[in-house]
Amino acid sequence: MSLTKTIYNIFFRRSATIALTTVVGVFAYERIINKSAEYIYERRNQGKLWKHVQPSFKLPTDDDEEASGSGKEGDES
Amino acid sequence: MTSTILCRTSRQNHQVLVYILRNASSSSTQTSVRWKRLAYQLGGGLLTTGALGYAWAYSQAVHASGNKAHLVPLPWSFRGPFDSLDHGSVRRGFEVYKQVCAACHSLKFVAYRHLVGVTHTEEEAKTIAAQDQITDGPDDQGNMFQRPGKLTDYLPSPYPNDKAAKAGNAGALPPDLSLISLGREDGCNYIFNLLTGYQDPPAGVKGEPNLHYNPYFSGGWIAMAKQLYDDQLEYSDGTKATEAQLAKDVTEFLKWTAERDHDERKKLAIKAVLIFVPLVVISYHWKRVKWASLKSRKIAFYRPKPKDH
Repeated sequence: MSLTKTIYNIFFRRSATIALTTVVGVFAYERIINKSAEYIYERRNQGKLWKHVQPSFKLPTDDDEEASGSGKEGDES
Repeated sequence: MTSTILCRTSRQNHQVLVYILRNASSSSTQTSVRWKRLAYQLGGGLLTTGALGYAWAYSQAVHASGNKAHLVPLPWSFRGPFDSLDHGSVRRGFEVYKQVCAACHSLKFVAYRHLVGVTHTEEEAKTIAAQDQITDGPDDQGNMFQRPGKLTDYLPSPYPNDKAAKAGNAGALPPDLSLISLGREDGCNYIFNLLTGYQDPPAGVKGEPNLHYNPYFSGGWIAMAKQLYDDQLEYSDGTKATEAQLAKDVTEFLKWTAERDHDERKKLAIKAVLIFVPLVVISYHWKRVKWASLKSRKIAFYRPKPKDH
């Protein structure tokens, strides 16, 4: 209980410190939310997003590589 | 049991109103009120459930009969509320569209630049765009001319207008596919079932000579012939191109063309849950704390002793 009392005395006693706490808190909370949402989303959709899939679609765009005929090559269109 | 008198008023010596704050007690009036409130809540809940259930059942009747086969629901990779599209599948679907469907169907709301970062890198998209001829605006003589495509161009239509499309397809207009998965009921399941659903008509059922039987199409007779066959094309990532694979990939691609914000939207859903669930819990707790004194008050009326005249 004394923890909440300490927090109150430091942060929530004066309106100026309340405002400061709110601003800093919102900034921190938004960063945390964004990072967590990205992490959850990418873990849930492992292997489906473009950045996971792109390596398996590496197509040569210059002509000399195309002439040699690598294994992953195919009709682009 | 502490009691605090909040205020007193007296009107013409008849009555004194006294508000008393007290812990909740179960007097006879209060328990009967509680039972009444419970009865109202239960009754209201049952009534709402009944009304909603009736409305739902009534809406089901429209689908029960019909002139097409019931769709087979499929386990799409993007079915859940937080599941994204499979971008490899979308890419392969683009290849299927380009090689099979683009001969007749336009995709006029998709530009080459939309592919960048979703299914292709910028260089790949530029290469693909350059392979197509785009009709561009009148030159100084007033004639339209063809030029290789750029990233900013939209995908070209196979026909210049609808009438040309109908003339080229025995009077049937191949619809634009950009929004087809939103424009058909249960779009993705419908497209997949339709593309893989071609079969011989039941004995005795006859259609026009240039129509093909497909039970998933309204009426059963569709102008489009079966388009997807095993090993019809070669995917650029080496996946085996079976008929089902082709249909699945092109459906996933068409889902993307209709809902390009799909992935971002579902990521936003996670954020919304992370923000609103704690917010609602805290708000509810705060409200209950602040209302506690009012909710537990008791109003009592006391008739004062008559004054001796």
